[in-house]
Amino acid sequence: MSQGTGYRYLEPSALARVKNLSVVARGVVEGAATGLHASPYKGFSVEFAEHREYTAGDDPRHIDYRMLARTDRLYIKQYEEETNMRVQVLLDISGSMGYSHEGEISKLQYGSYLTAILSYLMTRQQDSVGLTTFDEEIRLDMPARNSPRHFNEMMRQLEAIEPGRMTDVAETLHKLANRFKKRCLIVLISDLYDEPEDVIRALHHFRHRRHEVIVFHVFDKAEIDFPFRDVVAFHDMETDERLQVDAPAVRDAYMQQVEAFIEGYRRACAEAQIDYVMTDTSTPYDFMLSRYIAKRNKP
Amino acid sequence: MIFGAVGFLFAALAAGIPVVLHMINRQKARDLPFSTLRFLRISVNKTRRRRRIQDALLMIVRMAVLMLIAFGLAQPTVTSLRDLFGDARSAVVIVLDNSASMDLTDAGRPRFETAADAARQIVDHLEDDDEVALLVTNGPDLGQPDKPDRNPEDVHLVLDQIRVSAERADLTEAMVRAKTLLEKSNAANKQIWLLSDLQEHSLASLQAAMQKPKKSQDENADAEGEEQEDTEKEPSAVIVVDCHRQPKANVAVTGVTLKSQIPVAGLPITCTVELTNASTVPRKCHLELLIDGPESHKQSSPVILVPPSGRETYSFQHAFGRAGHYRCEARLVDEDGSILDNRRFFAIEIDPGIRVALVKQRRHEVARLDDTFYIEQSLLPGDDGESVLVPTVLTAADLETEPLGYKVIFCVNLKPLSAPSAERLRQYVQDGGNVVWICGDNVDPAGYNQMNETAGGSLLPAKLLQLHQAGKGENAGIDAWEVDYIDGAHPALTGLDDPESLYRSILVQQYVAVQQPGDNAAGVLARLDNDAPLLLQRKFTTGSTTLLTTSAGDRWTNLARRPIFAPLLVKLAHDLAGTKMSRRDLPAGDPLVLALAGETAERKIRIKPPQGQELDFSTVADPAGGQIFAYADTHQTGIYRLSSQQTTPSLNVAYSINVDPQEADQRKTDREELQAWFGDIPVVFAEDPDDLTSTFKLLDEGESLWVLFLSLVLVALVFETFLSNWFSPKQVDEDEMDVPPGMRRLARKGRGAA
Repeated sequence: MSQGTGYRYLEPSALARVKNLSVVARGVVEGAATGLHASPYKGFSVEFAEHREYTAGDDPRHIDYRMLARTDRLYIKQYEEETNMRVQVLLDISGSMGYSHEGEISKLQYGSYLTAILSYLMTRQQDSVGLTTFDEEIRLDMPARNSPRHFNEMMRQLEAIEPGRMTDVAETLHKLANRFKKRCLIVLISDLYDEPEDVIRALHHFRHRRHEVIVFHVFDKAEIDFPFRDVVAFHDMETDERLQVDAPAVRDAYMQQVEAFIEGYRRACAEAQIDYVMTDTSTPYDFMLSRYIAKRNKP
Repeated sequence: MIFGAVGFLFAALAAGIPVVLHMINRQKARDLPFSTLRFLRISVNKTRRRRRIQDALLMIVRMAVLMLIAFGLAQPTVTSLRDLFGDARSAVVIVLDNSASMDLTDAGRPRFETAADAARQIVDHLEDDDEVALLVTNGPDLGQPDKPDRNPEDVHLVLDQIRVSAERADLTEAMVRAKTLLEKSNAANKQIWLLSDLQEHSLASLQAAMQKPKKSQDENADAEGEEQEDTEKEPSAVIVVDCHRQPKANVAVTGVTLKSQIPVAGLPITCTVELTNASTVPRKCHLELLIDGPESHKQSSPVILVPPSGRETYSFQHAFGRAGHYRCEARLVDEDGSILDNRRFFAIEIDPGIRVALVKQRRHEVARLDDTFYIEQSLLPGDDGESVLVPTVLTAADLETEPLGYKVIFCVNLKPLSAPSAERLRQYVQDGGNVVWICGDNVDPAGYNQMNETAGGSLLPAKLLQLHQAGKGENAGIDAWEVDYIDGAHPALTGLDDPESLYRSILVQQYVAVQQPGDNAAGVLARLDNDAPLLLQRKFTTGSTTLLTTSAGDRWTNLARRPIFAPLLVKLAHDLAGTKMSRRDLPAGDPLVLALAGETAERKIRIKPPQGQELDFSTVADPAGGQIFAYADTHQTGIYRLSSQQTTPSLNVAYSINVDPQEADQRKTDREELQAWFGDIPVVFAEDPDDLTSTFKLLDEGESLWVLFLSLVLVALVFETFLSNWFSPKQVDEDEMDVPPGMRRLARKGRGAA
């Protein structure tokens, strides 16, 4: 448990680094409250949007008399309403996410930290945040809300998460894409160890439903650099399958595979206008996040 | 193959160490969890095949290194064929080169001594059952063996008798003979020992002699079975004891040339001696010319500098005062590497004078009226008595009976000869005689032409036409003809064409015209100003015939009274007489062969060698006709005199036998080349010709492979290091360390473009 915040995954030092940041939606989002983000709903707030011909039943206060004077016709003034953003964090809790090399922070823990600080940022800027955890199935589904109580509950749930078993990222994402009706910001935190074509298809599903998507592709440093020596018998954390390899001998080929895997996701996400952030557990999550938000907020 | 330390062979079991280590490492693999095996599985599948090959290769190399070390420690040696065949007998043929070049002092002692000692060592090293034969390349026959036998004492006896000879070696013939001898032996181990200085010329044809004749494809199929048999007949090894090491500087007398117009008493003879320096440093020499015969004489040369690996000549001049056979020798005074080649003998026969015959039609009581008067005056010695010409006056009738032992016969103003005289004269020309025709009133062109035709055209240089007289007939307006041309290049006329007044002052009032000779007939030596030939000459294979178309008296021309006449006749006589000078010179060892074409019955020939008693031999019938005499024992250098009173004329000739000049050539056959010439037969070069112990050891025990094994281990270790380095995974480029995965390929592309 972090001293000063009362939450395990919310560290004061990280909060200090990101306190001045705000995450702004790139497109319009459908929110229930007034916030930082452009809403598709036209209301009567301060931002003029367009004129509409008066029909019976409209509030006469919104008639534009200047237009009446110029055109001799009745028009109603419509205003664009600024609304809050709905953010749904999808955290992969499959067995592979529990991997950590030589007792360092696991990918799941890294994802939890990231979820916590993102939730904090969103809540602070009056956006609604929800949390969904999944492995081969959806394990937890907290809809997006903006309340201290909801935030508190999210933090407690995060602390209670244990790594699951198998992964079925694509299928789970399809299910979730069908579930979220309103446009929102989907933040996917996963190692994406599934068939890349299926996962990308699922991400396209989100885009099809006009959700904005950010993918945090999380690796352990050892998964990238493969620092093993000698002959090692690896066993798969999800399937328990064993494989004995001469680590130095396969290192080159392994790294080429991983690089191609990452490159595939990077290219597919770019084509689908999905923000793709590859990171590993040796990179401080607050540093990674602040760098990403700064880049994202550039005009 | 045998091993010096067999126990170390067990160390070869260490070759299993890499396998054991591999198994141990396999069991000790760490068990680690990993997020996913999807990439590893693909990587393993991709690298498995290559990895297995690399692992196997490395394993083999490492095992080979350990096995080689074990073999090396066991001290392996390649055994000889003798060991492979157990206690099989050996047959050894020793080829001992005793040619003249083996006389050279080399590494402090004569090469021949080194070779003979080596031969003794070989014989002493033989086992009781071994067979041995000794082949000596040159010198008298000391009983050459027809197959190797088990009596080494005989070889010792021969070795004690033989000496270095003055002959040229033919090692090829000796090697072929050695091979033939070994083929007759049943011994399993057959060796040829070649003890020689390996002179290049002595082995010139060895390559061709040692190669097996090529067989056609069909023959090959049939001869497969014979091949095994042939291999068994081949020598197991050829061992070369090279006696050419550090030869002492040596200069050889390699040639003597004699130059003289005619070898007659009183005329100087130039004797040019050729010296060859085979060493690589210049040599200063003194030469001596020794002459021994009716008179003795000795000349010495000043210091002669012979360049390194080069030749130099020095010429002596000497005029023999008396006729006779002379034994001559050119020799080097200074001491050098070999004394055999410091002497060169030659024989020379000096005639008392040039016998010439002057034939006239008849004798006159008043000498001045003789046609030959002016000729006699020209040829006879003057007041100083130095003329070498000995004229004899004959009449035409004498030609039928008188022996024609003359160098030149002058036929002066003769009527056409009788048939017997013409026939004798024809035979004389055919045997190499020289006839000079001088015209005059008695010359009848038609009769001469008929005589010439009867003799087959060998008496006259050209057909005679009619007589031309100045001031008469068609020549009515002419007082006389001048001589317009003399062939100054002809040896008989050298120096007579300058000044021109010498010959232009000759006036000819009468001459006999001749048919202009064709290209291949007679040569015109002098012409008149009307282009008519004055002097013609036609040469046959040995003899010649010459014609002066005017007279030697003073009725036809003033020639006889001109200053040119006497030198013309003398030079003509010298030129014609000098064509027969010849030398009989042979290299030592070559048979002396003398053909007596004119003899039909067996004749006694007496021969006197340079040393020893005179010996009598008989000629034998020559299949080509006549009799022939051959004498093979020419191993000694010097002068061999042959004489016979039974031949016609009586025989008295001398032959000079010398060291072959090629023996002075110190160029040596290249060892690699020699090795290649023997093909599949292994060639071993003795390390030390003075002491063959190491060579015997090599042949008996083989060659240690320790160095070879160490070299192989070294190469294998280097190879293993190279392989390990090659197969080891490459480190990530430092420039890429900061580039996140997924961007490294792009980063590499970017660097490539830059």
